[in-house]
Amino acid sequence: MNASFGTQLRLLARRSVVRTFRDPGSIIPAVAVPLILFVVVSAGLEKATHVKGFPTDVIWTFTLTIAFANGAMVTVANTGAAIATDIEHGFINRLALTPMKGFVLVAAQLAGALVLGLIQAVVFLGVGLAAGARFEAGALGALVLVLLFLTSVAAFGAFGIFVGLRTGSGQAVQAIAPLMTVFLFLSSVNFPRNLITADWFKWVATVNPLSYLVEGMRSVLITGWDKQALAYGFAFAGGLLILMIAAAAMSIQGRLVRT
Amino acid sequence: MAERAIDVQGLVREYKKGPRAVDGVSLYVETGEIYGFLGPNGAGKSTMVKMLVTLLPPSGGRATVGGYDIASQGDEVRKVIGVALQEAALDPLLTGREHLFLQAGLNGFPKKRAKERGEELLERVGLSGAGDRKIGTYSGGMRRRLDLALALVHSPSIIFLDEPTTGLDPHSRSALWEEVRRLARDEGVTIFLTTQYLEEADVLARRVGIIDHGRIVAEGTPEELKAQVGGSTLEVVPAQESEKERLEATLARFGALAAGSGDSGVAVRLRDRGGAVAEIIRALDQAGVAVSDLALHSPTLDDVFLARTGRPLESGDGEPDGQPAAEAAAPESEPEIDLRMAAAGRSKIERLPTAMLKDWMAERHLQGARESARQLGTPTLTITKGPLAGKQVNVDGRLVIGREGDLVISDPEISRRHCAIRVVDGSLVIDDLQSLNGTWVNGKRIELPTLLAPGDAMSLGTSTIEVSAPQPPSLVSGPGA
Repeated sequence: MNASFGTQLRLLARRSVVRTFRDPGSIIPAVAVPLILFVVVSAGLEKATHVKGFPTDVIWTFTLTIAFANGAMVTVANTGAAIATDIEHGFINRLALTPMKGFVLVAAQLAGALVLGLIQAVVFLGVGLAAGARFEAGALGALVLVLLFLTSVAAFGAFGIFVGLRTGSGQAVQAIAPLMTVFLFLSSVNFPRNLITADWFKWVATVNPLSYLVEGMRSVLITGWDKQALAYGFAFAGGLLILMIAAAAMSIQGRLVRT
Repeated sequence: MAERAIDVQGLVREYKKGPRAVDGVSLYVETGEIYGFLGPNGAGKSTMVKMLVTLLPPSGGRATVGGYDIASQGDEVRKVIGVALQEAALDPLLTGREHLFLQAGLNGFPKKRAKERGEELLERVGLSGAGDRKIGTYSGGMRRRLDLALALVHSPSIIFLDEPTTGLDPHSRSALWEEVRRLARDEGVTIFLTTQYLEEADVLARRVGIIDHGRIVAEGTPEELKAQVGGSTLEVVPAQESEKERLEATLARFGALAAGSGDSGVAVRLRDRGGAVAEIIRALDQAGVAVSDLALHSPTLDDVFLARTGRPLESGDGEPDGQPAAEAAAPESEPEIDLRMAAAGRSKIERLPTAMLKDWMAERHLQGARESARQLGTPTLTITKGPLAGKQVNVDGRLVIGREGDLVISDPEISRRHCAIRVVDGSLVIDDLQSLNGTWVNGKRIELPTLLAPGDAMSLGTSTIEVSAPQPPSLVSGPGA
């Protein structure tokens, strides 16, 4: 008798969620680091609201996306480290000896990331609103932001799983995290693209797809319902999700070598 | 179920740019049999297991497990096997109970049955009380027991255990042995067990395959294998030195004479393993030879390995899987370190779990050594075979044989340290073994403490060195006294 795909997914997703909650090392950085960035950058950019053309008078409204974008990117390290640990400890061999389908493991790892993502979203929203951030698109806009954030969490989570599967090393996965932060700061996360004065930076921010994710998130806070910004944001997150799930699914077949 | 639960024909596993980790192995395991797969580290045991459990595709040859081909019927093979790999692959953040529930669920057990099965197995391996503890808090023995329980979840008919007792304390080891025996005896489960412990293979396995450098070098029941290297050795020490010649003449009727452990002792390799001792005693009595000591040494599986490979099993001279052979090869000019305890029943290098215990052991042995040195004087090392044969090694009081028979350096400057002896370019070199602990020397891993018993013979390359243990004053007549 073999467990159905749904049963396998439920069992492994449960494991992933349980692991997430039992590992403070994955929860605290995922929540605390983005909030710290949010506060620090907000303090540093407070006077930027006086710049002519700055899209909002309330800096917290502008910078809340930093917490969400950074929070999504932290997922790379969490999911990647989790799968790399399974490889390093040989747990993946144990799973390989069961009738488990390889893709179930990828999907189940994402379940844990999404549960953590929900916690992050609630905390970020709560702190942001308490600090003074406002949603131009209203409560529905906040829900759309959370949806875009969770899509990003899944996309970056799948990327982390892909890296973890390819390298099989927790250290290699952790080394990716600083690079991700660099990419984030090379986007329009700290300043609107039209106000960036350095040509090279403006060009980098324009070609950096993370800018479109950030601008999609920011649109519901500042602009209201900007269909194009949201479309670009979801296109990036959704595209990355599909690409990375496909890559991770292929990689898991390589890791689950069984005849 | 096939009559042969496991049938392997010329199985090969090659690594890119590396040696053949498994090189044409053929063997079979009958249904319900415990088969011991014995070999040093890196001999190819784990690679073999990974192929048989479908985690590693073979490069050549074929094998069936439970009647299914491992290369083309992997799904079917996995349904009939349970596996506990060398590393107890557990998630440190999950509890024992959660592991079993997950394993049962993935194997298709309904929720209620999965929980029941988990409880049954926790009870069986004695972990009921610890079932809700995270694995991170488990001891090595508990992890191994849980690992075994996980292998049993879907009631497999064939179980692969890859070095299941490595690193376990004696109590946990014997508990696991008992469970393995019970599985084979009561449930008819076929067990393929890899081990590097002679005793484990000897005690558990009905048949043993000995692997070295990816090849089977011997196979059979432990008794058959031991019989292949010859009969037991009986060593007799006459009460009077003057009776040695008569003793030799009498013993020669029962087999080939061999060197005894001391100057006065005479050993005979018995042609007939059973019944000869009583006859010898009668013969000695009739010849009027008074005996002060008599000891019977049976061959061990280590002797089998030594006979087939020219080196002892537990020296750890296995070629690491996937590693170039050259790394493990010993150059001729520098013979291998080989501190094998040839005496029966003690032919293994002890592996102790903690540095503290090692220190305690070293201290205890050193005390004995000091006491022996004070009472008995300096022993000698005599080279009995090889280019330096006939020479005695002058140790000038630096080397003593302890009360327990341990070889330690009594020099205060390097006290508490065991030593290794090598023959290098015709000279005897005494190394500080402590500084070598854990390192690879000439393809052998040195592990402490390395203990020697009185009468041990040390094979060093082509030389054999015998340790002349200090004798009680009334018996001492050798130059070391």
